[in-house]
Amino acid sequence: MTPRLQRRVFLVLVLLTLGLAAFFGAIVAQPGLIGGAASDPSGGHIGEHFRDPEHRVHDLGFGLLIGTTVIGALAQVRAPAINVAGQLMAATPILALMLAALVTDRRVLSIPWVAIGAPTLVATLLHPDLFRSVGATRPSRRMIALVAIAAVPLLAFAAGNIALQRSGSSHHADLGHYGYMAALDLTVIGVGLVSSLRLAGWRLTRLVTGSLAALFGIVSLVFPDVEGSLGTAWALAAIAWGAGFVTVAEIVGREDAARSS
Amino acid sequence: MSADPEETTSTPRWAYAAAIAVVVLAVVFIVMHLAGEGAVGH
Repeated sequence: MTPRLQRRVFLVLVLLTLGLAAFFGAIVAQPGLIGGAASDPSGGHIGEHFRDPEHRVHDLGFGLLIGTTVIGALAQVRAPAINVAGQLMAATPILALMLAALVTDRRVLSIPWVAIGAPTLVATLLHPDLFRSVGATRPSRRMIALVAIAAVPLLAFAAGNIALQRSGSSHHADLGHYGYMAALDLTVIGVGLVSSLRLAGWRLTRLVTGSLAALFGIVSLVFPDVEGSLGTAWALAAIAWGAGFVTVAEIVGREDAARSS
Repeated sequence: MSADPEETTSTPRWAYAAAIAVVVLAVVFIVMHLAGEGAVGH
C-alpha cells in the first residue's frame, strides 16, 4: 500500500469510528429512534442508559471509555503525524474492553464498543506514522512512577470488578457493567503509560489521563451510593492523582521545551 | 537501490494481517449478535 493510499484509508477509518460513535450516541439520546424501527417505542434496555439511577456510574464509566476513544480519533482528523499518542490512546479502551471480555464472559461484549472498536484498532494498525515513531519513545520515569502508584488500587478495583462479572448473576453483571468498570480501571493505567512514552501528541494524552482519573473520582463523589462508585476516600484520591499527574506531566513537558529551545 | 520513502510505508506486513483479522472477527461477532447468538445483555 502506498503512503498516500494508506493515509486515505486511515482517514476513512477514523471518520467511520467517529460516525459510529455519533450514531450510538444519538441512539442513547433518543432510544425511541431505534425502538420505533424495532417495534418497541420505548427503546427497551437502551432507554435505561443515563436515565436509570442504578446504572449511573456504570453508564458514565462506559461514556468515559468511549469518550477517550473519540477524543483520540478526533485528534487524527487534524494531523495524524503529530498525534501518534492520541491514536494509541484511542485504542487503549478497546483493548481494555477486549481483555475484560476475555477474562470474564461474553456479557461484556456489546455491539456499540465492538463496532466502534474495530475501525479504531484497524486505524491504529494502519496509522501512517505509528511504526515510524516507535523508536522515538522517551519514557518519563516520573510519569511511569505515578502510573505505577495508581496501578496498585486500580488493579485491585479491576480484580474486584472481574470477580463480580465472573460470578455475578445480578442485573449489572447481565449487562456486562462490571467488565466495563474493570476496563475503565485498566484504561487509566494504559493511557497513563501511553502518555509516559512521550510520543508525538502526548500533551493531549496526559490531559486525558488526569481527566479520566479525576472524572471517575467526581462521578463517584456525586453518586456515592450507586454501584460502581469508588467511595469518598478513593474518589478524592483519584481526583488528587489526576491533578498530580497533569501537573508532573506539564513540568516534564516544560523541561522538554526548555531543552529543545 | 533503496526505496523512495515517499513510496513505501513503515507499516509492517503483520499489521495488515492483524487489521484484516480484526475486521473479520468484528463482522462475525456482529452477525452472530444480530442472529441472536451474541451477548446476552446488550
